Amino acid sequence: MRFDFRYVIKVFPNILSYLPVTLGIAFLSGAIAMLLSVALLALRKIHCRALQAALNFYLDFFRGTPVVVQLFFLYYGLAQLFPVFKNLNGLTAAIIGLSLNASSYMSESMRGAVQSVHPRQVEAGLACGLTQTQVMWHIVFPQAARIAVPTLTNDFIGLIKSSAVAFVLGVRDVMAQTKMLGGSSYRFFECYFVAIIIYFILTKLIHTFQLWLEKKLDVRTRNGGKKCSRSVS
Amino acid sequence: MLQISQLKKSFDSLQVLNGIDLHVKKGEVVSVIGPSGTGKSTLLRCINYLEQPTSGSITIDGLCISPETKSRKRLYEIRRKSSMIFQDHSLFENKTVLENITLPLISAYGYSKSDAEVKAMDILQAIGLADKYNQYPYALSGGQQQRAGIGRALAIEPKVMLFDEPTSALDPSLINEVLELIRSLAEKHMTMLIVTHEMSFARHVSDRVIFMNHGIILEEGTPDQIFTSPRCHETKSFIKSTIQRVNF
Repeated sequence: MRFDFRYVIKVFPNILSYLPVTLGIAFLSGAIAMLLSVALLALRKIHCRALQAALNFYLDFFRGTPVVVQLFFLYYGLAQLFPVFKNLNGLTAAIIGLSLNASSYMSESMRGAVQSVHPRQVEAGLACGLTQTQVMWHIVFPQAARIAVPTLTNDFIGLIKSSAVAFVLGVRDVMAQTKMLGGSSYRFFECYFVAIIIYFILTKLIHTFQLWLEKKLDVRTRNGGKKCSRSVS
Repeated sequence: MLQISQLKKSFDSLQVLNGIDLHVKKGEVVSVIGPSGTGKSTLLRCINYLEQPTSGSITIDGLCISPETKSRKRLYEIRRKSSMIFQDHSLFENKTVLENITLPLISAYGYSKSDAEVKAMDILQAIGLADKYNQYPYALSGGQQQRAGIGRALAIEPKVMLFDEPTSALDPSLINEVLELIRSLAEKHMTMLIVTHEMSFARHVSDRVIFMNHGIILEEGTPDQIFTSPRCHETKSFIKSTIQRVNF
């Protein structure tokens, strides 16, 4: 069987038309995961052994088991046990599952970034009379954000790739459409070639955005510092 | 101005401060010297409650705080009466020199942005860093960073300034510019408590020198008395060892 480039051109728009579904799952899960991560990070500060044990279990569970198993567990398994999950459609289940999964990675990335801010920065802020919240908001988070960008982007790229698993729950995304076209035309190579190109370009764009953001957040690349509203008199 | 009574601090089983009593008058410059690990830095950190003392009370400008009377409000109030200068890494790395000074003024002291900037520029002029106002800390030399840190501490008009080995992390060639600035503050009668290993500086700038050892104030007196005729054996050998180091 020879590589049929014309077939690639033909199915490309068809498969690409499902990109919004893939993007929707990835960005929505990513946003929910970020919020969950911040919440997890805040809960980490509470001194309660039971709570910390529960958080550790949460992280271990979602990082220690395959995402496809988690999605099946959520969609098929829990529906058997709790009738409330019966009405869950595949797309919602995928978004919930991927959000929970990604949050376990992202919260660890954020924790690492916050920890890597020099402790003296916090002390200096407190010693200047700032409150703990002001120190976090004005000093720690902006510095941690810069450090967290590469790892959080990695997590997000992982999430985009994991979103391809959503097809197992019947979600028609880029992956599902590719599988269907491949199955009906038997031109698997061409179809998956298209899917790979789409995912590759997508993650490459995200990576480019990451580099831009890193540069923007790094004070060392801001020429001579930010402009001040008052000039030197 | 600053009154410390029976201050004790322990980290688990390690007793670091064993009951410190100290009174610093308004406009007085007091240097704290002593071997490493004797609790000098811990003393300063307890004064503005970066470390909570195990017991004892601290009074700055009439406001008293102790572990029993501690509340979040009181904590912020007492911190706003003093300011601390650290060894290093104390300028906010994500803020310009100007923003380093204006942030506390705006966020903690209720200044408007423009008022804070005017005040910050005045201070930067006075400490000779006006041309660096929009630079980030990484672009400054160690000495300039420390001077900017002192500028930030000055801006909040503290009742007492606490210096925690302000020159220990500096290249020897940069130490003088920082010491010079501290000396000029002493001449303006700023109340200061300075932990330092710069013996000749302590001798020339201080009104009083305190020698700490094993978490207590072992000896205190005028610089001349401490450096030329110390009473305690420990003070004597400490002073002697620092002089020997110079003559190495």
